[in-house]
Amino acid sequence: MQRYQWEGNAMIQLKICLLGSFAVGKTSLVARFSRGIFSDKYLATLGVKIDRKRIQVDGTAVTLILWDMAGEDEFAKVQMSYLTGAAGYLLVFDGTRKLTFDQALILEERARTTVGALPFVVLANKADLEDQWEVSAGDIKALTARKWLVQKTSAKTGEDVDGAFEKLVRGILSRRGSSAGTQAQDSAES
Amino acid sequence: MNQELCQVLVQSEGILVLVRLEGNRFRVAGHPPGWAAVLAHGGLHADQEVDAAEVFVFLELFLREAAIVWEANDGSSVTSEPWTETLATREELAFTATARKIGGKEILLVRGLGVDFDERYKVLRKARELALSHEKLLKETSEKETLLHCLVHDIAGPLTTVANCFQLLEAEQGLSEAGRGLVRLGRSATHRQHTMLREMLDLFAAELSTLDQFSVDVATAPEVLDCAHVVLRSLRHSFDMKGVSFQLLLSPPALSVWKVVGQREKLERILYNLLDNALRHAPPGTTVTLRLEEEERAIRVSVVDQGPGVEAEMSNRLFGRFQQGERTKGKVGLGLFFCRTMIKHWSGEIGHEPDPRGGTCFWFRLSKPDFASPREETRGDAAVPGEGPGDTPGNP
Ligand SMILES: Nc1nc2c(ncn2[C@@H]2O[C@H](COP(=O)(O)OP(=O)(O)OP(=O)(O)O)[C@@H](O)[C@H]2O)c(=O)[nH]1
Ligand SMILES: [Mg+2]
Repeated sequence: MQRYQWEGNAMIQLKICLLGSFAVGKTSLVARFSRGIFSDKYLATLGVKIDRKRIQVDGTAVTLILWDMAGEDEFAKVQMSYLTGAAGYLLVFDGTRKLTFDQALILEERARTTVGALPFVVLANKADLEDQWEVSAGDIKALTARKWLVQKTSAKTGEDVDGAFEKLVRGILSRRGSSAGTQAQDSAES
Repeated sequence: MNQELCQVLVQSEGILVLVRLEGNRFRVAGHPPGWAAVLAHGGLHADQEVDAAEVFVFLELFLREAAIVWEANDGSSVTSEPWTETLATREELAFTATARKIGGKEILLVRGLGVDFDERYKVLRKARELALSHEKLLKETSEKETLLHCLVHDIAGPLTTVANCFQLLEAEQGLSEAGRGLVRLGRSATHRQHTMLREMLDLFAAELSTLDQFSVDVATAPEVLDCAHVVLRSLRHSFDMKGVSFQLLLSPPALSVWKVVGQREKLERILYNLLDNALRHAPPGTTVTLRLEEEERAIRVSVVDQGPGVEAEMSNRLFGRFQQGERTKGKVGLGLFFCRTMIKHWSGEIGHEPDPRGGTCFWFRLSKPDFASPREETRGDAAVPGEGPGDTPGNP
């Protein structure tokens, strides 16, 4: 874990990636989380977009380096190598597009085989459009049955967006606290 | 002189030149381009020594690839994927980095891509946009197809019953010759109608265009109260049989015109579906209430039952396709799906909420024809109040 002197406080800096199919709302979630804004316009991310956000989680100050990665489609593959050094990631799907749910499962597997088991939280995004959802409660239950953390979010309304990021950070911090050095991300950062 | 020229060129092209010292430490060669002054982590100046991976976290990974090129020293170069940073000015700027060895020096060029970046990738962005629109269109089409199937199905059911009755009648003894003729006539008519229904499915595309015909004109707009009377007449027996009473509340009671944006037959169908749904859930001895309320620009219609309420599990998805609760029987889901599709098509709002006195209130709101806004403005995804966040584990 990297520690930086920052305004007099020891600062934990965590690299967090956002992973998911194209147009599921990764960039929108980051914009909502870090700047409190939302736009209906879809501007596909090219490569990766880097943002920073300082937050307090349970009294611990943390700087998040957010790697908002381009979604995958037939034109470009997700660069799994960008996960190197990440403390964890958010796996995002769009509840109104079942396909993106299926793709999220595939991305998780690819992430695991590339960089090992990292902490992650699944974000079921576009909760504001719940009446148009193709992903059912049963689908989501299947994830929680695997002990995955799932959070419904809406980048549009802001619903549970902060909570989702905090949930991930809490997971990362508690895992580090309880079993320092055993996680894949620790060795990658050394 | 040559070096100065190079310097100006590099700077004006928005390129930052870094010369490697060791590891990730670099020295800024010459004057950095304008964007370097507004990097989120403080500006760079000439001859400054920096950790490139701290200035651009993205580079930490790329520098490993770059090291291979510098080591190989064979004139080759490697360029990174683009990445985007938010500058101190809140502007976003995309970059690429190139590593190569020049004159024995290990050089890292960081190029600010500026507007030509957007130009270069316009096609890719457009392709993604189109892919998304295409997906949406497919989905809408299949929703409409479902709707059509649902209508056809609802018509075909009773028609089959009629056809069966004719068949039984034909087998009856003691039917006069004239009576037999009438039964034959009836049978052939039902047969014809069956064929027509099948053709309707084939003519699906045509149905889509008729879906668009609804009235925002005061003269031809449908009357909710009229529609309600028609529907109530057809449901009266069902109410009586189940021992459920019915009340109609108008607010204000004296209002004589209850016109809304929409289409008469479909509005009747919506009212029918909601009342039928309420009746299905109403225990004997209770009352179902239909309330029409005038609002400034709209009419709100609500149907309240005193049933057990909507199961929590179902609550969020009640208006979805083929949704049926455990307790409910019949084709509930399609009916509500139809209501939602039509109301949204007319730029209205629809939702449901628990009634304070127990039971459920299903409601919709349609504009008065004189207040209908142009469709483009209002057709966005109307929020469905009363449909709060779901029961996903992890939700607070
Ligand atoms: N209604 C609704 N729309 C959303 C939400 N989040 C994102 N969107 C919209 O979905 C579209 C895609 O959002 P982005 O944030 O660009 O998606 P992305 O995952 O970053 O896409 P790529 O960069 O191409 O991988 C945009 O039009 C957003 O306005 C949400 O929570 N609710
Ligand atoms: Mg994006």
